[in-house]
Amino acid sequence: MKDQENTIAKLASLQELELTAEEIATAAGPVLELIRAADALARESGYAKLDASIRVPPSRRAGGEPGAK
Amino acid sequence: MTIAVTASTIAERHQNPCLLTIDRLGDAIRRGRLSIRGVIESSLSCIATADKTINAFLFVDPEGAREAAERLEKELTRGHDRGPLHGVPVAVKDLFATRGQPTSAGSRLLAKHVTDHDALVVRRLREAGAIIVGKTQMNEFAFGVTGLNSHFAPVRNPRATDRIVGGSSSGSAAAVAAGMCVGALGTDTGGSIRIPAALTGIVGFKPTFDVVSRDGVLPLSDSLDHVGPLTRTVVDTRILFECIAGKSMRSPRPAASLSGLRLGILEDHCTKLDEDVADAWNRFLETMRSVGVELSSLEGDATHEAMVASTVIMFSEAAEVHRDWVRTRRDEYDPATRARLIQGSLLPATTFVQAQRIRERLRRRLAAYFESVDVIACPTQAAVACQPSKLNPQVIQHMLRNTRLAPLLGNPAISLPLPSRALPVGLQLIAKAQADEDLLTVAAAIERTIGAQSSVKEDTR
Repeated sequence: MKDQENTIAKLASLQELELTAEEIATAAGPVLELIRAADALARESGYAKLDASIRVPPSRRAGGEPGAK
Repeated sequence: MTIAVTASTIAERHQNPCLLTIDRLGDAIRRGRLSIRGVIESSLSCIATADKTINAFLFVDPEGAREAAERLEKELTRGHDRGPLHGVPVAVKDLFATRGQPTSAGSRLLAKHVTDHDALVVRRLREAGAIIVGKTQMNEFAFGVTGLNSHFAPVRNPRATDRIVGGSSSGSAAAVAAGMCVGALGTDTGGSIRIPAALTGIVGFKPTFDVVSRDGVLPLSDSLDHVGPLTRTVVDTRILFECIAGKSMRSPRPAASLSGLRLGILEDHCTKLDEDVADAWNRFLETMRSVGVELSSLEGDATHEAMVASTVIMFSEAAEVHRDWVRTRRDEYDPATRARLIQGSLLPATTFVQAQRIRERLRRRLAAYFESVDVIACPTQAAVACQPSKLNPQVIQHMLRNTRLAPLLGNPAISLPLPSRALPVGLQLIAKAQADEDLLTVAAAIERTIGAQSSVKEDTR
């Protein structure tokens, strides 16, 4: 939980947002859950992985249909 | 459960003309059986009486409404008829700019904000002869679906005053359902027109994205916000829609036959229905089969994807709109709004991009559905209106489940009442983008077939 709150505090700092400890604690769960859910669903879009870290959307692959994103 | 039907009952006893359909009201006015001034006095009187309980309005404008009634009455006498909305009382959500009146978006942050212009849709209503009787309650900045706002007294459901109305266009739905006005404007970003329409037993229509101007409407989420009407019947909805969309207002269309209509059932939107909703939904399906509608199942899980993509996009875009105030005036927000804006502020750009990718994938899937069906159907809400004390994050998620898809993809969607055992149940119909007129034609045919116009009073004068 502490790690999650540290992550949120860093994100808030990047946004120049001074959050209270309570605000950080309240936001941590829902924000990280959304980030993970979007990431998991986006992976199902058929990324082609060049290596472990670079993901290429379907539209950029050979044979990818125009307009596919 | 208090099924008081307070306002509607009061209105019916007093033969409230606001319970007539727009064409019947117009007919009564043009035949001299009702005066526009009389109609407006009935509307104001109903607000004065019923709104003590319902709390639908944040601002009522008796003076402006009476002045407009006087002027429009004279115009009609001189033969200047502005069309079906001439002299019709309507309300607008407090998110729409109205000249010389407060526009607070239901927030303390804008408590003293008076707008010096009309939103384009408000201007179109006035030009068509509609009379704006007041501004209605809402979730703060339209950011929520409960219809509750800690800055103001709770909006109560006219169909059961111990129940919520749903939101965010709670006041607009309650005002129409209670017979305080004939129609109202709302906005829908994730369900904010269709949810309260379903929970109060009226019609709520979210047109195709950007078919209705958002000029002069305070933003929540720029790529998801839609403007649309709430009325008691689909025919009335079409009249208001054509007006605010700037389309030529045509006479009612000939009745469409439902035989041969290809209706796709979005199966993942039809699970975990409460007993009343399941009962109304199953009877609807039986009726559709009996009149020759071709039903087909649409499989696939769209709900989770729509919920995630819509939440990320909505929260991020709202956080951008409120960026300055989240830093400097955070304590003045309703706690629920504040929490969502903070969450939106913290979502990284990569997550936003992923949400857009999920959105495109859903768009392709929906387009594929429309290759084999004309219209998609599901219950608008999986449950009937609950008591405020029963609200929790799970219940709120459940309320949003069936309404997120259409605004995310920009498709037109309408909620209309299904005959139900006690509390209102809504049927949602979704069509292809830009097929607004076709959707309204199908919805009107379904409305006639299922005979759900229970709250429409026949003109017996």
